[in-house]
Parts: sequence; C-alpha cells; structure tokens
Amino acid sequence: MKYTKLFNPGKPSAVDATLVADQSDGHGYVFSDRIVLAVNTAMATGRPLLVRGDSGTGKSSLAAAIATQLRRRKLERVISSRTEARDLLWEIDHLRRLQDAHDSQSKVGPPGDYAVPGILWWAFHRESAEKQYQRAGGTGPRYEGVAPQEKKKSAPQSEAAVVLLDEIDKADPDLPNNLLVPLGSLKFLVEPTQEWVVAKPDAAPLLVITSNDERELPAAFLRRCVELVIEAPSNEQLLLIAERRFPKIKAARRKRVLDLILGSKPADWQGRDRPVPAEYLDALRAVANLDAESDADADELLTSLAPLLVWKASQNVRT
Amino acid sequence: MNERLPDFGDLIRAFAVLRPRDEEARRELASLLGFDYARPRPEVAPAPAPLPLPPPPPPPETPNPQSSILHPQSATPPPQHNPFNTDLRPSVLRPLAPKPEPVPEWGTAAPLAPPPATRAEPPATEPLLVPRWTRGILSAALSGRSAEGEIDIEAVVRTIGNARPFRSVPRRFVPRFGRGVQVLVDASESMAPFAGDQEWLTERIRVVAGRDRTRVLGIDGSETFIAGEGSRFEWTDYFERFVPLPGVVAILLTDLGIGRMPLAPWTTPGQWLSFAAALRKRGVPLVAVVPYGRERWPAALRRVIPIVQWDAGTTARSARRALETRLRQYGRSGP
Repeated sequence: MKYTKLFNPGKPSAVDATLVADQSDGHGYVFSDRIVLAVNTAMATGRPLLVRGDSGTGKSSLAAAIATQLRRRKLERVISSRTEARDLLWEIDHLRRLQDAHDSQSKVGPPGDYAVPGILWWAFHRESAEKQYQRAGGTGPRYEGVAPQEKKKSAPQSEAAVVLLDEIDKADPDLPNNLLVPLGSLKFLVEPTQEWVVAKPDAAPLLVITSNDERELPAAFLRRCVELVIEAPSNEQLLLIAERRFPKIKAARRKRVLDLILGSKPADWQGRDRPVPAEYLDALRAVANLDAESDADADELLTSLAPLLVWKASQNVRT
Repeated sequence: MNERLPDFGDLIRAFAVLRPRDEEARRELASLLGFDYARPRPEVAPAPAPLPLPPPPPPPETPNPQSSILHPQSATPPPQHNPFNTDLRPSVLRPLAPKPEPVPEWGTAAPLAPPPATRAEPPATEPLLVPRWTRGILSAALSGRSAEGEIDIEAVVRTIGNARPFRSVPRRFVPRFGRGVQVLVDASESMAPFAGDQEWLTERIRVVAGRDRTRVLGIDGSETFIAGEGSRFEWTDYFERFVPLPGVVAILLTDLGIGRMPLAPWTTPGQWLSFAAALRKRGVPLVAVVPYGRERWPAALRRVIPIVQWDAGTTARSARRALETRLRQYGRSGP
C-alpha cells in the first residue's frame, strides 16, 4: 500500500520476553500493514483508534508500541464497570474536603481545590494538569506517562501522548456517549474551576481505545472512531512475533512448539483453530523457563501444557 | 456491532493527508472509516449501433374523394353509420375468417425457472421495537440503582444537623448497569405468537448488557413459578434456585396474561404481584416488557411493576418513565 505515512514504524527491535508475560514497553511489536494504515488514519483525522479483536491478539500492547515508535509518553487507564466518563476528565476528592471541614487547623477551599485531574486532562494539557494536581494537594493518580526507569535512558521526546483506554466495553453504556465531546473536539470544561482544558494543536494526543466486544458501542461513538479489528494472525505471523520476543530460542524449537500446539487441539474443541499470540508466547515462555533442554523434553512438556495454556475453553481437554 | 454512520469529513481529511496512491490503500483506508469502497467501474465500451428499425407505418389515409376515384377497390364507399336507420329486418350473420391474435409481450418471455430444490427462508419479521432506539430503551430500563454517585449533601447536612456520626460516606443513588441482568422469558401459551420477538429482544439485551452479565431463563408461573435454561421438563422452583444477587435487574418478557385463551392456565395479576414483591424483598428490581397497549395492562400491576410497552412507539424516554416508577417504588434506600 502506497501512501504518505505519518507513522512509519521501523523494524521492531528484538527483546527477551522470557520473564515478563505482558510486555508493556512496546518493544518487539510486529505491525501489519493494516495496523500501520489504521494508526496513520487516526493521526490524519484526529480520531481515536478503536481496536477490537480476540483477547490476546495485542490490542492493549499496540498503544505502547505506537508510543515507543513515536517516542511519545504513554498514559493508560483500564475501564471498569464503575468508571464514569467524568472520572477520565477529573474527580473530586470528597474525602479530603470532608477532612478539611472537620479539621480546625485547615480551611475548606473552593470546589476547585479538590478537583483531581484525570487521564484525559493529563493527555490534553500536561502543564495545567500538573498545576491542578498540586493545587488539589497532590492526591490521586499522576498520569505522567513516563516510567521512572525510562527517565534516564529513552525518555519520550514528544510532548504529545498516546492514551490507552483499555476495555471500554466494560463500562456503563452511557460512558462512550458522555465522551463524545471531549474526544471529538479535544477539549472539556472543568466545572469546579470553570476552566476549559484544550489540547495543544501541536501536541494532540492519539487515543487508543480497546474493546473485547462484550457490549455494543453506540453508533455515535463509532462514527467518531477509526475502527481496527485485529484478526488472529497466521502461522507465519506467529512465528515472526515469536522471533521478535524470543530471539534466544532457536527457530526450529519455536516452529516445533507451534506445531505441537496446533496438533494437540482436541477434536471436540469449540472455538478458534489456532492460538492467539499471547497463548503461543506463553507456551514458549514455559518451554524456556521450565528447563526443557532437549526437543524430546519440550515435546513432552508441551503435550501436557497445551490444554492449560491454549485449549482452555474445552470441557473435554485431552491431557 | 452497532449500525455505524461514517463521516465523509474524516474520509476527505484522511485522503488529503495520507494521499493513498494505490487501489488497496484507498480501499483499506475507506473501510477503516466505515465505508464500503467500491472499485471504479471499468471503461464502458461504446454501445453498439442500434438495430435498423422497421420502416414507419404509412400515415393513415385521409379521406380524399379523388383517391377513391383512382383506386377501384375503394370505389364503393364504405358503409356509413346511419343513426337514423330504421330498417329492423334481420340480416344474415356470416362467421368472420379466423385471424391470428397478436402475441402479447409477456407471452414471448422465457419460461419461468423451475422452483428451487430448497425452500427459501421466510422474510424476517419486523421487530416490535425500533432497532435504532432499542439500545437506549434497554439502557434506561435495565439500569439498577447503586449508591455510587455524588456525595449526598442533604444527607450530610441532616446527619451533622442531628449530631450523629457518619458510618459511611452518603452518596446519591445513580443508575448502574454493571451488576447484570436476568432475562425471564414467559413461556406461557399466550406468548407463543411473540416467541420470535422474545428471541430477538433477548439477543439485543445480551449485546447491550454484555453476554457475561446476562442470564436467560424460561419461566412459567401458571401454578408455582418454575424456571430453567434447558428443557422445560427440567425446570425447577425459581425462588429456590434462580433468584439473582441483589442489584441484578430482572427483566420479564411477558404479556401478563393479557392474550390468554379462555380456560388456559395462566399467571394471575395477584401471582405477578407476589412475584415482584418477593424479588423486591431480595433487592432485585423487576421490569416487565409487555407487547400490549397500556390500556390493557392489569390495573393492579401498573403502579407496582415498572412496565415498558413493547411497541414501535416506545422510546428511551418512555422507558425512563418506567424506571422512575421503580425509583419511587424503592425510594432512597435502593437497590
């Protein structure tokens, strides 16, 4: 596909994923052409990237990989059924306010003194979020987007952020609709302070929103998103991902593990016909960490582990 | 996923910035924004020259006294209708020579194709709710109540004013969707005409509330309330086995016995009242969705059970009104 690329990831660097199950540093991600085009489209239109697909296909790690490639800070919040749209903008620290009211030494301030900036405030305008964070007493989560160990070596160069709102389908149905204005116009009003938070034009965040399709999202929300469905990768793609994540394991062993997983699928298993990347990588990690030195050891180990790691949904797994 | 209305502005912006230069890039980019990208049609070959038309029929001859003189067959003038002909003598009837009837256009068409070996599926029935509004209606009707809203200032003032200690932070009740939904599909005979609608709405509830948060049970209240998921022969007592946790919303797809046949077993309004009361006691809000008009709802149930009319005229607003019934019913104490 030929087009002008705003986002053009280079060849992913190989990492050793032997110890950490879910890589959140964004290294080693294998971008398909369609994913690259989707990221470019989201950047060109200024729309959030809505990523759908089976669990374990790399939806959440995509945000970290984009941030790493663009050298942007990455902010992340996992949505739950209790999350409200306003929590992503700001929250009121009621307990601190109540405490101030009862404490004879302190004085109850205006409501703005208790407004704690949320993740989108930090993403849209970092300076004002930092200022408000200090004003609110330094409580609540601080979405800086830079891990302490990253500050020394590969600190993000761009002020713009990549924001991951993970599993939006877990939220109440009203949440996506209540985010239409902040996500569409990249600004919102902080009611306690009566101030607008507006994203800087040269540092507009890229929002990555994931969904497991457990609930339907409203049409008005979908219209404002670039929608990417990550399909289960082919065997060749799985091997490529394994090569990036487990460079120390020999290619023949990686192929053998995949063949064993595919061959161990129970006949009556109702579901996918191949593992998702996370399951395959778990199997490789098990082989690497459980001292399967010879191929025969690895074969025996995988035959036992496949029902535990991959074909888990079956009621009659072959053990 | 939901029906999506793509945005042309986004498409134009994306094409202007990314400048896709091949067919695949254009197609993929359009599909990411919700468009079905149609390939440009190939050059259309020039249409072949039209077949020569038959010569136009000669114009109808105008009566010309001179021409009749020239053509002997027309020497005898045609009989003219004489409105004043009073000759009533019977004339001899002669059969006309058989003339071939012109074949109509449809008679020259190709014969009909033989019927297909497999029978076609009947067209899908129109759902009782407007599909585009269903999500809003269900969101309003299925929300439970949870003390997770803003700080309830009135409660704070009341507690402080009475010099009582706070045992918990008083919060306002807000509609919540997270605790799950139990769909109770009324299996009585009178609901048989609505079986397809029950199936459709159940699937919509699963999609809106989340499959992992939705449990679907058949229920029969003609004698005692029995329910179950599989064969009806295996259903057991609802209150022994299937009462959900407090806060889970129970939605009942029923006609409340309105469409019952005479002498058929049915669940009386009194039984539904006791059913709703038992659920309320256990902290489970109940909503009934009824495919008949408001005027036919049993009067005894109207003020006790929130009822949503299952009809194309139902909107999220009317469903919210049903919810308000529930809020009044539970007051400030939830659930």
